[in-house]
Amino acid sequence: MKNCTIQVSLLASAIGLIATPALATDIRIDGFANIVAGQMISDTDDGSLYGYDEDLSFSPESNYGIQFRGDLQEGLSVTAQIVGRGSEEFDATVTWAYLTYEINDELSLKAGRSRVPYFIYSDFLDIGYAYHWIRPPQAVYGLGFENQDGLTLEHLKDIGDWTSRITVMAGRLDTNTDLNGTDVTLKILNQVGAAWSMSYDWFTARVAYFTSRVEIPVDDLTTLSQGIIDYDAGLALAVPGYQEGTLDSLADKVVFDQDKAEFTGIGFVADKGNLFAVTEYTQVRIDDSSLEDRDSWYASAGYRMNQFTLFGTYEKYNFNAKTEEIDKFANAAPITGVPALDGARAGILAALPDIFAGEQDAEGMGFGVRYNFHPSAAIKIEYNQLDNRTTDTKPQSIAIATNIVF
Amino acid sequence: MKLSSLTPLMAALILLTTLLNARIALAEVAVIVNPANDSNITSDDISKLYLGKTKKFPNGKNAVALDRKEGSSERIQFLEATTGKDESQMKSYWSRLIFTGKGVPPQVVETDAEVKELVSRNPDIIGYIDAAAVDDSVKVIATF
Repeated sequence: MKNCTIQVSLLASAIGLIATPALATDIRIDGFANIVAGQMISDTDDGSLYGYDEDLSFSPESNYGIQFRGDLQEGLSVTAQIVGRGSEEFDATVTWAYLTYEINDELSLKAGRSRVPYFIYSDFLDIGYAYHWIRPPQAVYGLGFENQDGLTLEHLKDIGDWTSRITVMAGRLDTNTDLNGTDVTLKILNQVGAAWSMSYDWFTARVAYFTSRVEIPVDDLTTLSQGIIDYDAGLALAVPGYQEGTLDSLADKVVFDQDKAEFTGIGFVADKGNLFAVTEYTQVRIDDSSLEDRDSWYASAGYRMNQFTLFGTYEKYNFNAKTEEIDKFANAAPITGVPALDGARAGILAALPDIFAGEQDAEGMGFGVRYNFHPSAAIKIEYNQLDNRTTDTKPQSIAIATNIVF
Repeated sequence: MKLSSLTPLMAALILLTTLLNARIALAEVAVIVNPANDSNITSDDISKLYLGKTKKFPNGKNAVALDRKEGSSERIQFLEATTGKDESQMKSYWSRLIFTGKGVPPQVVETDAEVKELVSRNPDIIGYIDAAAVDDSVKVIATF
């Protein structure tokens, strides 16, 4: 609660700045709210989707937000967005706060906390009204983090009949995320990258690439990594012909110590008349870490009839765990007959499967309907199911949402 | 059902269609600028101004677009004719820009008289009104 008070007072002082008569021109307030109720309709054993359980629940996906934008003239503006999420007890937090400077008609610079454009819908993830689903396909969008603190340069230009938008970003993020079921601190350092989209009337193509250094401090992993290095040194002493450093690459993979991460995404949107379709493919790689190689994609299409939209989605993700590292270790580390060394070998072998445990192979389907019952509000019903081949589960959920912008 | 029983229904339908056409024909929307504005503005330019894709007239001068109230017949007709979007699609389009700091939608002005007044005073302004309300203080660049 205390945290929240500080954030609100920070915002108040930001508004105070804008309201200073010498600078004041215009302050604009916009808001959105998404009230989402959902529940699982599959067996409890099949697990959960989007945080739902077998009883109807409003909290996992409901949220609201208020955005303040102050124009300071001469191309300068300040934007702050406060969002409260049902999954976080609706506590208000400042998710974005940035200064925008419009250098000229084509170029603008943003400084502060803002959304990283990993995906087509990144910029308006929280604005349910802006898209047809209740939530964008999680195979792709379930990355676990969205924002960063830094600089964004945006370039918008018409080239013949096409419009080109290039967003270049540099920054960092400190957040909490989930690593194989454990809540951990995640630092995304030195993140640089760009997204480029080209639109022509009804068609848009988009590519994105971001690279960063990822650090996730976990004591147990650091201990294990050091254990592997010590064991490697021990082997070099005890086993003639054993090359010291053979296990260095494994020791490095066990921990996330500013490992180079790469994100690549490609997407297409077609929207013509009553029909539209969108598809995105993304790849996440952190070679020197235990993170599985992640490949995800989805395709979705819809048909609009007056105020109704019918839509369907197919999604698939393949998280390829680096389990071959376990075999590589077993082959590289000889059994010595020295109890201390062989004990360490057994210990490491026992620990590794939990480290390289992220294997996931799943595909999902969803369909639903959206109805714009008011110029500022839509209601949606969506059914989703996932076929997770790794865990052999088939969770199914149904949700109903009201999306409002004001 | 006999054919003759359909006739009154057909007649009613034809009458209704005629009335609807008449209503649309009566309520034409005129896009207006200041008489001093000499820029050659196409329908595509108007669409770009109202979608926030440009803030300038084709002659390079600053442009400020004025919008009308949500749900007004002028707005529904104007959006359909220029941007090809209905009000919900327009709302969705702008919500994508507003919440990413990429733009601010055109300001809303309530009445034809106010739009006319603002346009007649400021050469940067573009607006749209009921064609019947047009007078000498403004220049019509398109009617839908």
